[in-house]
Amino acid sequence: MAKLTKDDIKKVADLIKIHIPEEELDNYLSQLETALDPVNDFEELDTKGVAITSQTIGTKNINRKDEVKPSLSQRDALLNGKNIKNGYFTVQQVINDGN
Amino acid sequence: MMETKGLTIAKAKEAFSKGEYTSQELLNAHINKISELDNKLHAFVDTTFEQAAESLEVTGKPLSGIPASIKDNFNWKGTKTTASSNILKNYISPYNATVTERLIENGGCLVGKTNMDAFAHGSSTETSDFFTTLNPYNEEHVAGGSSGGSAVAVATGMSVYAIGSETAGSVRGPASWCGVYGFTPTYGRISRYGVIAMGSSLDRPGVFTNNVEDAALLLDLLSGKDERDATSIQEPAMDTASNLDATLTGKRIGIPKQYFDDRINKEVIAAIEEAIAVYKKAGAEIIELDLLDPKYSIAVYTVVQRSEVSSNLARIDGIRYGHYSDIEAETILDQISYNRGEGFGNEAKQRSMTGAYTLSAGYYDAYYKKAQQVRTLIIEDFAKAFTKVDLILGPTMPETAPKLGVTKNNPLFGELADVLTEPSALAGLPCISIPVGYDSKGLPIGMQLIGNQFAEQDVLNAAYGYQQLTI
Repeated sequence: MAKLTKDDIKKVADLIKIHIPEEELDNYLSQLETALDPVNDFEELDTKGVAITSQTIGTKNINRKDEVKPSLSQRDALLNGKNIKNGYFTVQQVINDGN
Repeated sequence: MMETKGLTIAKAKEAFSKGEYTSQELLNAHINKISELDNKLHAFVDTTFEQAAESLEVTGKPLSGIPASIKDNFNWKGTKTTASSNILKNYISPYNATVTERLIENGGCLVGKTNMDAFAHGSSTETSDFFTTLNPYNEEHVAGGSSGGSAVAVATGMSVYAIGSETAGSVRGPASWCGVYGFTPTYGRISRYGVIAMGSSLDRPGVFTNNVEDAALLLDLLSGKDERDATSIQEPAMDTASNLDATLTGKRIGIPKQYFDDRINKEVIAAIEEAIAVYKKAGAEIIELDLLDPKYSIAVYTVVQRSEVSSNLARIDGIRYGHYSDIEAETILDQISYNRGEGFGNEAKQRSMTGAYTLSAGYYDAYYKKAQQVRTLIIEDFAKAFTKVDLILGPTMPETAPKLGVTKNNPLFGELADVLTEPSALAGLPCISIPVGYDSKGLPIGMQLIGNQFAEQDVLNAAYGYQQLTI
């Protein structure tokens, strides 16, 4: 069984920017350990020199012409944002003012 | 009132041409069926009766006037597309998925969007952020998932056919547990463009139907190269429906002994053995196969799928779309973190975290790389098997539909339930689940046929052969 710590859970939640309240860390710790359990079976298989698969059907380098085509209108692209101003998504200030 | 249950596309078209009923009457009958059943079964997240009625204005197309439904992870312009998740509860699609577009072009009459495990993370619909879809054969049991709503819609006559998607067994599984046909073609055969992504190297759109002919017709209409999905197979649309051939004589059918061992329910095995006898009697050659233990697929699937989930769900930030938290965050990163923390359910969080962990520095080689290598071994194992046989046959699921509540405190329910569909999903193979009988509790049992990559016609033909001998 994979051995994880509460700190691992905190770190990983921070990496993927999902807020997990302190009191839920233990619950996720146990879920992640269970989820990783089947991985122990890998030890039974020899994979020395075996190539990795990231694409199953052998499709390679599909290119298309770089042509401008109609796409989402500004209105449609902004349709689902909560904070919209002058045709932009508004967010917290990202670049500080030097103070 | 006409009965909609068990209806097929061909039967409905015949009735239209004979003047037995009109498309408007057929649509009304489906709307009535939904009103009658869905308060209880919860197959639909949302109904789209207005759009369905509008579609009737276009006549003479292959799917004109045939009421159908589509899983709620397919974008459909102007409708809510939630993937049964709270974080996308109010998301309105600004564009169509390729599948939706092709359905509409072909006259598709869509009555609603169907319930699923949120983001397709599950095999029961119990992890839908909204509600659980019940099994129509016994409402104390799950419908299966993740495309559970689609399976129930077809099983009960709330739709003639339905669209689903499969990452491990999300079409075959609920089809098996609800007693309908569930067909998923080779990876890349039907475009993934506009389908809310779960595991991108695994996701495949598929269909639920009441017979093989409808599955073939839908494959023909939905397949074909799509330049908006770079992984789509670079071939034109298929032409399988007009080439269906029920001949079973001489077909080499492989029976993997690992799919029939003591992990599989005895009643399920008995039903599949009866089906094998049908093939044998019709002249098929039955060949015992020795495949890699499917338990390795559980491990590979867990790692690959969760890694891809962690990457795919990272696009949802609550800024451009999705739930926006009321907590006043100081930085944009904190804001995104709160949006996701409130919006994602347990399963999405758990899978994203597991995936990020298996991809992170120090663990990548032991988890992700190793899983990708074992995936190669699984693909090679199938390739070797297909030098000896034309098709592989086995149970779709190790047991019939379990009782409600089965997924509680079980973060691996989906992976374990899908043990017999994961190997072929990892290899991207075309496959179909066929209803073959019932257990002693009256719950449906499904048999799956798996073909080699690109061999959709072989899979459909062998399924058609069985169907013709058993209806």
